[in-house]
Amino acid sequence: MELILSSFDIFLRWDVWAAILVGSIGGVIIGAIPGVGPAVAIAILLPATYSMDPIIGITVLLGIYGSAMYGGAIPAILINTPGTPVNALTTYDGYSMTKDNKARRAITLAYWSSFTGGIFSIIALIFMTSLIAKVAPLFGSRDILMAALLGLVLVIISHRKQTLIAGMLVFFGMFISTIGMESVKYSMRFTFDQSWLLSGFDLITVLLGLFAVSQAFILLIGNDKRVSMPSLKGKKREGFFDLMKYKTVALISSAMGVIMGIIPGVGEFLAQFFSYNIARSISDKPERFGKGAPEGIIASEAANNAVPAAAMIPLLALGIPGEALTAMMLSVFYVHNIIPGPDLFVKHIDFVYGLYASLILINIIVMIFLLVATKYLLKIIQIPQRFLGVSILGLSFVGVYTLRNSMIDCIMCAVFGIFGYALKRLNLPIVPIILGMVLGNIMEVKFRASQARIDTLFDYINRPISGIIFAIIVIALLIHFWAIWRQYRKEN
Amino acid sequence: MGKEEYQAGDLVFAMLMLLIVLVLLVSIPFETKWFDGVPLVKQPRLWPTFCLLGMALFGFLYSIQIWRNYKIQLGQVQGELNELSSWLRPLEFVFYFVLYVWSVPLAGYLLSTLLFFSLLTIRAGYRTLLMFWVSLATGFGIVVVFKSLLQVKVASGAIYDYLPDGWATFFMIYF
Repeated sequence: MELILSSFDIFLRWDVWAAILVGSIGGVIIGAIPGVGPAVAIAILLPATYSMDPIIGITVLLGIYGSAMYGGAIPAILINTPGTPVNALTTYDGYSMTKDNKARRAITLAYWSSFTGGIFSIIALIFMTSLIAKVAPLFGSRDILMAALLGLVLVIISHRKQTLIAGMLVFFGMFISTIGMESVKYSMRFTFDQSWLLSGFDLITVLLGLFAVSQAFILLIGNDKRVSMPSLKGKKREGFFDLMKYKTVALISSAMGVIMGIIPGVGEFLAQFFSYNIARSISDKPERFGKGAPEGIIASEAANNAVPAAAMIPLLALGIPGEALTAMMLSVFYVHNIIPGPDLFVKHIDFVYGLYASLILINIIVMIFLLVATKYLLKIIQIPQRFLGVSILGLSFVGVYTLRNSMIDCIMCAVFGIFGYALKRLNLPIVPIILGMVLGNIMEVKFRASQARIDTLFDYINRPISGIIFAIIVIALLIHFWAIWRQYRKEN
Repeated sequence: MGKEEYQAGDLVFAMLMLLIVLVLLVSIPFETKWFDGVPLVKQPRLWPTFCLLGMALFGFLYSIQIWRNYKIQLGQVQGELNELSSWLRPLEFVFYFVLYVWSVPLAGYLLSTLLFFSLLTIRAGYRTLLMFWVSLATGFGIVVVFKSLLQVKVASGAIYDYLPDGWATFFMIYF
């Protein structure tokens, strides 16, 4: 109890409140602008948060992460363009409702659904803390190695129909993390006698290039789209009544978001995909889905907003990020010498409770802000795309240059920007590279650390935890291959 | 979420990645060290080799998948090359970006940013006075937020040395 109270002391500080406000409102605005998204914003802001107090830095980033999807629903519903990629399913029913002159109802329903998903997942996170605190210290090197492997396997197989290229990009990310001086024998690996490669590729440089600079190129080279904004008709409370009517869908979707968020490498896409299908299967009128069904919006928004808090569980408990955004946050923890993992719940439990409280406040502030300020956000959606490209490129400079004031870093960032641009043009995934880079590094360290207790390959999985995780990996692979086989049989 | 159809550029991308992997695989003996008497699992060479072999395996299977599933025909080769050339289109903006980075330690963060935003806005096709002012205001806002308020580490401009002492210090700290 004392710990909980001491963590709430944090909220007597003005800078924490400022961080929550900036993060949450900034996140909504960023989410509402199609073509930006939380990954770009977090990548740009990451180096700026290094000089901040850890709770401030993490709160700003969490605010953006947790609130961007709220904002992303606005263009998804009004102009059929998702603000963030994970709002794509919202367009199906949201835009249909807009065409039926129910835009306000759809938007407020999306807000309340997002709020339900967000709060549900934080409550789940809080209730799981004592369990996590007991289980996390039991994780040894082999268990963390297996958990990281699980994350990589899941990130590969979750890219349906892109499994092979996702696999290649995961290994590419893992390879990038090996470049530079290794820390055991202090020998060089793939530096090609270049001094600037001694410390390898900084995660921020790669992140900014792949997410932000590549997006700037896409926007600068593309054309501006003329957007005609529909008027918001209807009453705000109708959305809330819809949520009450379909509260079972909201709860199931939130739970699905939590489950998918906890599993490393899965994330929002699968969460909302499963939720949407479940909602359709339990609906009295499944034929309405895709044509303006309120349950469709609830399923999509509740599920994707339940993921951020849940995705913090593997990050905080094991130091294993489940997707790109938590991978970015991992670097903030490291910079402040707060090492996520089993010890975090012993040494910094007040910090963990502080994060939980921040998450609750972020959701409340975002909800109030959206109910009051939606009409002003409509103007932001109309910012010209190419000017956004100019701004993102200018902001990327801050992100990469402030690391070491290095021209080389900026050039490398631009090179990764071109690589990311090619990937985006080809509709190939970027996230596997980032997760490969982060998890590959963790795997190499844990692989070496576990060697003292390894005589045969079986020793990797003869601990209860690593054995269970290995069994999950095998089951996931079997399900994946079974699905491929079924599809092959169907097509032939 | 999935990618169902062949897209121009898929094959050339896979081939380029395979070529890079092959070059890296060949460089393993020169770019990593082998320590005598050290077990294989502790060799610094092991992990990058494992990554490159994984990359090669997936890249090879991916190339075969494209080749077989999408039945590449000779007529599509031009499309592949066109796509390859389109990946070089951002080079123009890379040049502006590098020029901007180069100018900051000379002209200072504020002046470089104002120039970068205003000129790139014009290059992006916005030629109205309103957009010019908007671009300047955006650039100024970014400098104030990041350098003046958040105090991020950006090298101060050599140009500030020519200012009177008090002003020079002020600009070095805040702009």
